[in-house]
Amino acid sequence: MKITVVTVVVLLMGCISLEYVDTRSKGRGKGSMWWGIAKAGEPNNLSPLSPGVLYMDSSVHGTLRKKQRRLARENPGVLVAVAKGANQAIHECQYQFRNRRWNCSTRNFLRGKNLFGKIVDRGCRETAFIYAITSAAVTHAVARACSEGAIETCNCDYSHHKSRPRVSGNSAVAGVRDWEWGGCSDNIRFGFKFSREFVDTGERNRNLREKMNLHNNEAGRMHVQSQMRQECKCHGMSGSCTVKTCWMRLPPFRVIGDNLKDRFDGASRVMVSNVGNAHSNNAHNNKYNKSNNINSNSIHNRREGKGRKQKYGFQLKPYNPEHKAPGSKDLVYYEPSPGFCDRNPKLGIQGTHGRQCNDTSIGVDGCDLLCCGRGYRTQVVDVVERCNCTFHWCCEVKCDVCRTKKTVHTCL
Amino acid sequence: MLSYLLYSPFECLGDLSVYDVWEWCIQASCMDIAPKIFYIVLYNLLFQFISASFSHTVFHLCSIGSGFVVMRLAITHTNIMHLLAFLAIGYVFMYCANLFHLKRRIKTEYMVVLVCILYLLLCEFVYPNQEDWIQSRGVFMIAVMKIISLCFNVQNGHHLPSIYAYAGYVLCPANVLFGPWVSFTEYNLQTNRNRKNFTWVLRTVYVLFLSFTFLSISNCLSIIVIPRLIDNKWISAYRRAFSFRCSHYFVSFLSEVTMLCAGYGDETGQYVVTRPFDIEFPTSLVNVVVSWNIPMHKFLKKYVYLEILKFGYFKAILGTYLISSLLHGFNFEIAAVLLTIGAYSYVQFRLQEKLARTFNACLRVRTCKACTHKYKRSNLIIKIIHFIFALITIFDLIFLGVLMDSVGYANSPSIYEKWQELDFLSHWVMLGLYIITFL
Repeated sequence: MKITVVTVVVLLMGCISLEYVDTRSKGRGKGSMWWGIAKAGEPNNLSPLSPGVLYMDSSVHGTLRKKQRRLARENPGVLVAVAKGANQAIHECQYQFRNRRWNCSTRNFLRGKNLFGKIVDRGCRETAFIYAITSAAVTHAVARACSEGAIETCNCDYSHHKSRPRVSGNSAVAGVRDWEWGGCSDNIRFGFKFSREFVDTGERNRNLREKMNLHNNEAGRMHVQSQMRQECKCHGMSGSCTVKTCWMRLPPFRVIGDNLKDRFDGASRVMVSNVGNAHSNNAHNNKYNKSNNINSNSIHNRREGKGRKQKYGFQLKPYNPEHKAPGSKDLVYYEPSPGFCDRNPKLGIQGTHGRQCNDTSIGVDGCDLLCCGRGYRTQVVDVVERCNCTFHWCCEVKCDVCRTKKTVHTCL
Repeated sequence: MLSYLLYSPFECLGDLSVYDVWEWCIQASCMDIAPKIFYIVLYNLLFQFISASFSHTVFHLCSIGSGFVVMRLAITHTNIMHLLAFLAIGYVFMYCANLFHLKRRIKTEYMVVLVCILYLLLCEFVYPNQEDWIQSRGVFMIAVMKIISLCFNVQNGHHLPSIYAYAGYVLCPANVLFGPWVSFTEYNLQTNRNRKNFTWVLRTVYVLFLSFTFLSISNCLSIIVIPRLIDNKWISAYRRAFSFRCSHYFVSFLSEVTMLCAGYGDETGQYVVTRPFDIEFPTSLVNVVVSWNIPMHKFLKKYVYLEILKFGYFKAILGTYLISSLLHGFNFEIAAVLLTIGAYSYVQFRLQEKLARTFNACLRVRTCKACTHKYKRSNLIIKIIHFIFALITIFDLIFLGVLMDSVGYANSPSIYEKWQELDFLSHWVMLGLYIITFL
């Protein structure tokens, strides 16, 4: 009898601890394993002409969750865009953080592990940025691929132009054009929705970490969506507006990276809030929630409606009660960042040893700060680079090879 | 290599690739308007071919019908109703004025001008829905010009046209939306126009291409990032002004397309509305004004300038610009632009006249037809002086174009703010030139 009780207790404890471990390690990376798709194959091999090929790749297969695989199957060609987006995200992240102690390194990536290393196990700013930029990049890349016609399930047709009522007849502001997005307007919508389906798969809004991921993913998408804007210009006799032409302004991904970096610097720290799920429609109730069924280019989606609203309809509470609650475009985190100065294998931090620094800068890229006061080594190296490039019509660029001496400072 | 040029992002394009600019701006803005233009062209062609084979009454009815459909393509229902009501009242008014004229033997056409202009002013300042008005202002302007010219014609011995002819004239699909102004005789000439041939097709396609090109430039010019080396407020102001001018070229060439499609055109199969080259590389502001909208220039010259020339040269010029800005509804920006042009071209005229007389050289504003001066245009120094005047004109055009750039947009900066940003430099230059004329 006693023995059984003990075993039950042990079993129970085991279960609890197992579950704990589960959420600690697997739970973190669950929604983010797809990042590995970036390293799944060289982008050149991913020919858009044969979208099935990538899907068949077993290494890709392994990184995706069941739902993600289904999405990829149902939207042929989308995986190429996702892979492109993931690479774009890495590239942009490394560009934005090139001068920081944490430089968004993906160097110690092993198959089956998280692309950005163990840092994503912590709920810190850096993690917030990674989630936001990857989600933004997928939105951006998918929307683009849409307009290029690389994804069969979303197509850019101009036919809706004619069918749409041209004039908003007797609305309150009569005469104001009922102008919806011109041209390939639905692409960003598709990108947005796809990103929600694909990127947010693993996150279910159960704990603070998942809420944080959801919020940051959504923030990344919001940045893409708000940057993609319509511009119009009037034309007519002497400054009148007889006809209006509109076009779309697609932001280069750099702009989104810059904006997200700004949000990174001003990220808000949040804590668990008791009124979490109470539909406080502040941050996440953007128009995509409402316009879901309008869109004809819907991604096959089983769980729409109420569950969806709950997934995004939460409000995070600021850690410092005097601060404002984070908005839909803000990045959120709940743990302070670890020090990135020294190597920390436990967190997968490389440290700044051997990094190049700028001896004249007093900023973060300056040798004092970047090397964390350890000092630096100065070397003069020969650099061979292409220079004096001239363009010959058409279409050739001819360059000379220049050898220059460069002084390089590296952290000790 | 070609794909590198097409697909790699360029800093000067705001980190977009050539393909991006093509896809997201040029293609998007052209595709946005292409269906409308297609239908406008189609209805004009239909109008031409149907009306060609029928009597005059059918011709007018065709014109009314297709004009109405063309308007439906671009402007709102409210605006169309507004315009039709205005036209009806206009006809009644014209009829009464004519009756009065016949009975009392006094000139009443000025009354019609006055009423039309008052109506435009009323719309500009008290019309409840400004957005609606901005959309239809161009259409109303063309209609008012047509009514005024008709009035003058009638009182100079022509018959009052029938209501069909009147409506057909004002609603003519070839020029109801984008102009140009045509005279009543010109409108009627369509029926016995010359044969259509290959050159006509070629010219139409060419002009259509030009208009799309200018549309793309006008819309997409703002994408290009000016290199920091030459970036200053003058360059960006020039860009804005240039963008506005391109928008005007787009509309002008589009109106030429509609005119050609409806079967109008001169002997060479053209219908020149604007001359971009003369505006971009002007010799003087007067030439810019003439080349800006040639039919409108003809209208102003015939019905305004020559009418008030008897009061004196200066008053005639000033009056013409005043009437012109009144026709534009006395929109503040446009009025400022037109009155500034009036003042500037007066200064330029005085100065160049004086120089021509003093140095006995071909330095007048308009090229003298039979030059009797000692120094001809071929003289190098004369060429240089003309070049300097051209530069001053281009410089002035920056100031004028900057104002026009945002007409019709809410919360655009005021005229004063825009000129202040450019230090009123053009005004100082003009003041300086004006003082020189007194030396």
